[in-house]
Amino acid sequence: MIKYWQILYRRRHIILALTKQDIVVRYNRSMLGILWALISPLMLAVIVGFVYGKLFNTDFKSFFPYFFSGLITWIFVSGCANAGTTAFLIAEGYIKQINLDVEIFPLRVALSTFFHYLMAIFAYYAVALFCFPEIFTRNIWLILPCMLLLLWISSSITVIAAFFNTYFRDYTHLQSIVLQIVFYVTPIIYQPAMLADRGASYIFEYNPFYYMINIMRAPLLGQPVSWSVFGITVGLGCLLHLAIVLLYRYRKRQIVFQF
Amino acid sequence: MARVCLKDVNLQFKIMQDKSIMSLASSLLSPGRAQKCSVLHAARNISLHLKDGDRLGIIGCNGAGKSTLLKLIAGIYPPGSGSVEVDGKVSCLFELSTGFEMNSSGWDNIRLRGLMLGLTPAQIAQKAPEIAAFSELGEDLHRPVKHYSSGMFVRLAFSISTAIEPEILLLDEVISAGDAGFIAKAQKRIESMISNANILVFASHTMPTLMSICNKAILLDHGSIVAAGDPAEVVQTYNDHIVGKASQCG
Repeated sequence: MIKYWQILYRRRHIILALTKQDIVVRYNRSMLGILWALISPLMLAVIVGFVYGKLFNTDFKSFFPYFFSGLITWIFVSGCANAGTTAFLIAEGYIKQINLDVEIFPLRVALSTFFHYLMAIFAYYAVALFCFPEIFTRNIWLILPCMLLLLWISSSITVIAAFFNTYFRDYTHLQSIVLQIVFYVTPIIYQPAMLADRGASYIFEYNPFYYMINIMRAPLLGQPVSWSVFGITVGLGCLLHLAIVLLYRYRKRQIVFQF
Repeated sequence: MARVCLKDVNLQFKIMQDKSIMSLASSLLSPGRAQKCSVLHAARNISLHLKDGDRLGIIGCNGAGKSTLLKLIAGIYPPGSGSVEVDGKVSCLFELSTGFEMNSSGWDNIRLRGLMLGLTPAQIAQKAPEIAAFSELGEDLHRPVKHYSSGMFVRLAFSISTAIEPEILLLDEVISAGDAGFIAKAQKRIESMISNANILVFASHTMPTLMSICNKAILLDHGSIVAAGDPAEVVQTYNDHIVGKASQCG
């Protein structure tokens, strides 16, 4: 288990260089460049938030922060899973040529997705400053540990997606359907109370994604993180971490035969 | 002290069958066409000992297992059975134009490849000008490598792979894609590396180059070593072999 962190630490330069490369290349030759990372979550949140606010007939000021914080967190988690599917496949050229630690490739895509999440959070706080400054409470410091916790979990999801899709190419199709379902099943665009009122709280209580969204949503809204959410998220992280340690131990060296 | 030691190494590839539901359906409809999972035995009971100063040439037909053997030594393929022990910093040069970030410039690729080969950012900053100079790519290094020709890839890849001062260098027929001037320069560099008492393993079909560089040779056929010894003798065996099995060899 320690070995995994040692490898990541030893290879930190290459991971960061590849991540930077991904971000730079993505905005290469576009006029607004990296500004798109700010604009796109903003546009999405404002337009969809407006429509759903009308739909649920809720007050914009109370609904919008809730919706925005949940949506960008969901985009991060699902983005990691999606980008993970091709993490090893796009690295074929490296894996077949150089004997190196394949651990760097899923982390590379997780970190560039994380970068976009950071920009989205930045956009969120910029809007909050003008529209709903009440979210700036003394709980704001919680954002840091919670963010690291979610990054840890999401990077494990990236690794799992990378392994599964390398061995079974059907995985990517299956995962995209599952993620679509999860998006509607998880209280991201609606309040959990709407389900609880109808006696259907089990729909989110047994949904791990609910806790992953909430671990970030609470501090983003300036609320404290409840111990149950924190505990379940840490437990989930440990479980996923164990899974990737086992995957790496038994399947890592066989990846080269899967292209 | 660099050292390469292979003991009874075997490696089998299971050739991926088309696993899609369509092909399953078609094989059900016409059972005669159903294929069994095929296995390619790419390395058979290979044992090899190399020490400082050894320059091993690997000869064989296409598909004899030359590249597989190099990748086993490089640690890219794990052995199916047997043991592979390698002491020393390995650098390898296999297929070209893969393992590059196509949208990034030559300079960025020098940095990335250097990091992957185990250099620190400080070491790369120090070596990058030398790598660039050796490649003679000049202004082209600022262009994305997707616009490079295969010869330019050779220059870039070779310059980086040899600049890390490997103790063990694995080459797979690649330098021949460069132009005459670069081949001469590359050979000079290989010679200087060899004089530093390192190990070279070189797979090639270019017999004169192989005989001039190597002091040992092995002949591979269907994954097994069928001849080993002095390069001139092994090349002779290979030529006889080709004549004998002209229909099978490429």
